[in-house]
Amino acid sequence: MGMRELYDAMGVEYDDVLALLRREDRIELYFTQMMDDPSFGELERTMEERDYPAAFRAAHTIKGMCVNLMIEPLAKASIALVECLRTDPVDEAEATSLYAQVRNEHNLLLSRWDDLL
Amino acid sequence: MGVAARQTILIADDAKLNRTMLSDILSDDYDVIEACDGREAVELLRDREGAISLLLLDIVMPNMDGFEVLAYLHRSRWNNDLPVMIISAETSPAYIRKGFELGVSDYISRPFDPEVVLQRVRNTIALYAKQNKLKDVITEQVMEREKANTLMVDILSTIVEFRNGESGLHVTRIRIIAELLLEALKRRFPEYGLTSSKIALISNAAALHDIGKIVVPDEILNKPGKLTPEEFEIMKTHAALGDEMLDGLHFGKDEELVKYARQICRWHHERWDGRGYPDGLKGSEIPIAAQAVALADVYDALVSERVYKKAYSHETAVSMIENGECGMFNPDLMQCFRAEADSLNEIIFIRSDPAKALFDADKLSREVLERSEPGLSGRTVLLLERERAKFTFAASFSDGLLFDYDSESDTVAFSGKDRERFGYPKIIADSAASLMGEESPEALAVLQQRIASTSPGDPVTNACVKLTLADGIRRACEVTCLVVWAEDGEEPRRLGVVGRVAVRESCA
Repeated sequence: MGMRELYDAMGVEYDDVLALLRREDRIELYFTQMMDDPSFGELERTMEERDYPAAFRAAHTIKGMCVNLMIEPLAKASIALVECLRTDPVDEAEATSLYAQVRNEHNLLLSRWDDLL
Repeated sequence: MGVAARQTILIADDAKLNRTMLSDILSDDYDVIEACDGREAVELLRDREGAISLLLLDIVMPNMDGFEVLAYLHRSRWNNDLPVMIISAETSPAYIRKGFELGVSDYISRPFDPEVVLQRVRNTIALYAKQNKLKDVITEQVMEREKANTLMVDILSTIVEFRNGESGLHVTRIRIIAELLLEALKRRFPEYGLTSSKIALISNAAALHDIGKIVVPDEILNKPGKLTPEEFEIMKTHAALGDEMLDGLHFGKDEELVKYARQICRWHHERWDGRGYPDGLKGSEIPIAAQAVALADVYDALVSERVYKKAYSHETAVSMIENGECGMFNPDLMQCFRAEADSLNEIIFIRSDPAKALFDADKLSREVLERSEPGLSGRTVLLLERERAKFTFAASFSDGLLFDYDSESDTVAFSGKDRERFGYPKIIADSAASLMGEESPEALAVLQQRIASTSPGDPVTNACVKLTLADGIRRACEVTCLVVWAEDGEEPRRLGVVGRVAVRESCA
């Protein structure tokens, strides 16, 4: 499976990604850097500790990366989580369920990424 | 700046991916450096002050977020010279608005188009470069104009002085003393409405104060002994005659320079109590330009040798003026004279050096640009770079911990061989005092008290305090510091403190 198939599996038109990023040679590197970003671990830790301001920052970083790389399913899930964590006080039940969606999308992406490697 | 010099862009973003993407877009055209949070960005900016052309800033970051970085830039007054573009996934209008309120040039939201980012970066850098170039051009022009003006006035006045048997230095010194007095008056008494450009004009016009003497006969002008009452009456006509000569000008009568020159010629022998000549004006009836030149003329006459007298010492001259032996002057002006008296001698000596510009063209052009704070134009940056290189080099040899505290930004930078031994970071932005305050509140109190006791005349102080080093052991440390003062405002104020901390076996 190549990058094109990875995006196809997410339901994202790969040609759109190329049109946006223009550097096919770099897309795999970008993807690696995103998958290696500590924000995912940070989000998991802060959600467990219920440190919502820190969770907001981690989710925000994930959102930014996904939006830039057009990883739409994970982008959508993290945007929802960011908006939930932005409110004060945080609706903890909702945050937990939205975080579960982010984690699901992330896990899905991880397994597809593993297939690719 | 060389044509080939590549500009440097600083990217501050906590996500490696974001830095890589931006760097990919920009590195063909620019040198790119990266910071992974706000604190590192500030550290890099300080390290390379003035050498960075653009800051690309993320908002949501650990250790100082983007807004805190912007606030820091604002406090350090860099925001006028360093363009900042925010690149953020944040789309809420409140964030974007806040960014612009804090002075950012542009706001790009994610996902971004690489071509658009590159264009917007180019435009922003070009705009700032143009602005800086314009600033340099204006400085250059103001300097040229002032140089030409000053030269013409100097030629004319030197001719008069020459006939008077004096060197042209009297003209130069009158200029400088008048300028000094007026600058002091501007700082202390804003009600006189003096500005840097007015002061430049008045001190330039001051050189013309005695042009009326050109019509006073030689025998009277250069008489070695005391003048008879009749001769003195003739001598006194030079004041009104100077004014009338300028009134006869066909062109330029409406020029500010000529208006000031006429006031100065006519009234530089008037006195505050009305006992001067030619018109016996009293108090504030005498224009401030003439008042300042009158005092400058009296002081310089006292400390100079003339055909009819020897030179008095600076101290004697000051006390003669204080005692009213040369007539009464405006008390406000006297207050300035007293404040400046000590430095008068020295400054006149330094500034009489013809190699130095008599006018601070930079100051004037700043006023033209309606900016009262010093900026960082190209030349200043080069000077700063050089100073920084020298300091870093010198610091690398120095034992102990060196520190450089800037009070406006409340930032302290540490360097020196022993920095790691103390366990201090290279820089602490924001509440610099907190570091020491947490572990050694009494040391901080002692230092603050010592620093408070300094003055511009006596800026060095030292103290012995106990500090906890990186190994956790408290040791006696000798702190020697120099408080840096600014005297450009109404009151002298502290700009910062530099100094050295050295570990001692014990302290006295």
